[in-house]
Amino acid sequence: MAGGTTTPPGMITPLRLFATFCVLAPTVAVIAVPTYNSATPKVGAFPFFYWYQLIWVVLTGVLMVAAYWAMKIDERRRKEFRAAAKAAGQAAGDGEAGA
Amino acid sequence: MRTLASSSGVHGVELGVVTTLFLLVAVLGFLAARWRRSGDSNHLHEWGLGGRSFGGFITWFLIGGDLYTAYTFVAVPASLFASGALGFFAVGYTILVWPLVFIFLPRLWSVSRKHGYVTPADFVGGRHGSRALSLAIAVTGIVATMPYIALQLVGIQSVLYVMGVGSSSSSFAQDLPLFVAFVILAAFTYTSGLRAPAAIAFVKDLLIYITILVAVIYIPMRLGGWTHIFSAASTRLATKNPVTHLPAGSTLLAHGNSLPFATLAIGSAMALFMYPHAQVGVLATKQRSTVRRNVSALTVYSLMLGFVALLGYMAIAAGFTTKSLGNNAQHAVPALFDAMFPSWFAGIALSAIVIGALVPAAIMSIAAANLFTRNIYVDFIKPDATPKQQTDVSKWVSLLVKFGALAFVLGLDATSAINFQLLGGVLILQTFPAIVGGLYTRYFHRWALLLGWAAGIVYGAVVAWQQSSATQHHFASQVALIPWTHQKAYIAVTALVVNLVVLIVSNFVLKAVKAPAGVDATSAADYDHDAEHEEPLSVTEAAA
Repeated sequence: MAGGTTTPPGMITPLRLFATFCVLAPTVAVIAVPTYNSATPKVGAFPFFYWYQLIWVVLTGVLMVAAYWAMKIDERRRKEFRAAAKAAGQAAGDGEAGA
Repeated sequence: MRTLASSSGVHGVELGVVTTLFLLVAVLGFLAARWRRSGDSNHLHEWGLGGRSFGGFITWFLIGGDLYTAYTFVAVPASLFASGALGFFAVGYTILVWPLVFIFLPRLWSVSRKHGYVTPADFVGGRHGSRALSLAIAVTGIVATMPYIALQLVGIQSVLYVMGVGSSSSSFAQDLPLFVAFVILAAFTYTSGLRAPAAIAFVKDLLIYITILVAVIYIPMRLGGWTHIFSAASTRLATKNPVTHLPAGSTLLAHGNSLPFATLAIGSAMALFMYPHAQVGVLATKQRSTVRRNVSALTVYSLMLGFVALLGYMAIAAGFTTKSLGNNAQHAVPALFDAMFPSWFAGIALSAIVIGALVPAAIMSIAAANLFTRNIYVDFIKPDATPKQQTDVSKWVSLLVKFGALAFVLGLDATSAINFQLLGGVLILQTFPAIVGGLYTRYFHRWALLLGWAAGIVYGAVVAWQQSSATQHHFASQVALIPWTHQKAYIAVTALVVNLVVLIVSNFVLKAVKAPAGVDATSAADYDHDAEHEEPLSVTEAAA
């Protein structure tokens, strides 16, 4: 049960870090232009410059799905924690509710 | 050298297919008025945001409509056709858009839903407590959107030109087909509001996907494969221009072009969702999570755009030159379709371009009209306007904006429309600190934001105007030297840096002299607010 958690989820959680990574990765990949401005290695007839960017479009889609789920699970855990804290606070009286 | 076939008269089959599909779409646009109708039809939310009722599926098409415009279908490949690898920044741009959307649009959605904001300027006004800043955002939005609508018309015009009707000159009789198409567009937007482009977007996307899939498989086969396409492009772009004695470009970025490429990609990505029409698609959604969940599916559009861009190289491999396209590189893709496909399929492909231009043109004119009504008419002219009056004003302004854009295209030449669209990108990016900054912090003083905005606008407009080339005196380039360096960058990004410097310095001064800060109408919780229900999204989505 979610009620078992005692420490509140902080600003930084592994899930949030993971979502941040998913969001930053495509940005870094696109901005680092000199790393991919080359003709080789080719895939089929496509120079590296072209297929690298097209691959990153697909990767971005995958990373965005991952980030969406990570944020969704994170938000659900926070909600569960708040509900549990509220229930515990009501049971134990107002002394613990503020903590 | 392949020449444009338009000299051989009107292409009957193509024109027939395009006309039929256009009429079909027009009927759909008028019928859309009754689609998913709920609530008070006199309210601006109904006409201007489709009742804020759109779920994930429709939103996907609607936001896709913001991305897939004549700019992506005509201007981007034309840019690869004319100058090579630098034009491919559009792919990087559509990659960078999605992480940005993921981060800040849910916050904008929440605060707009909570406070009933219809436009980005509504939000800025409420957040910073400044009517002047709100007006600045609204005027920038309208000014930047008008040439964007004009660019959609240029796309339609290039299709008409290739089919042998209409022309790139400005004689009224030859522009009659464009005019007729336009009146129909204006009429169904007037009656149906945002529901019209949302309904048409289905047909549009279907046509576009079919066209692109066939184009990227069939055209390379006819042209002797991708190897030949890339080598033909490489050879042609390396040919020196007899006037400038410089090569037109290259299939890889030349020395010194990395920063222009990166800044064009990131600047365009940051600018896209500052455009009022792009925000309309987001604000019309029913739930906060729809925005984020859709982002991953929307990358499909980016992938298609990548292949659309390469149509520019295919046009080179097919033997077209700028000269053979009637001295207008914008004709590259329509001419390629016309030359490569059997005429019935060329008709479908050309319809995809025309309808692909109609949908964003409708959304854009609605967005500009909402801006005018909410942030100029209500704020400054008639504060006590009823919802019905607001809707009526919006409807009329949407007509006015479209005819303004039409006059623009008919009065000036196509090149000017594109130049002004580039300038629009420079201007709209200057609203970024007030809108996106405002979603996270009220650290910046409203007057500092206004000063930064003004500095960015003035710098960007002046520098863009100064760019000249062998063929153009002004607005010849999107990139310019960064002051005191030998490195070029996208003007919009340099102007944004100017904007931020002025913002930070004047913020410091204004805080020091304790200038009165505006009242914030929003609270911290508003930015994470979801619609009324707290239920898991999958359940409500299935019921929708």
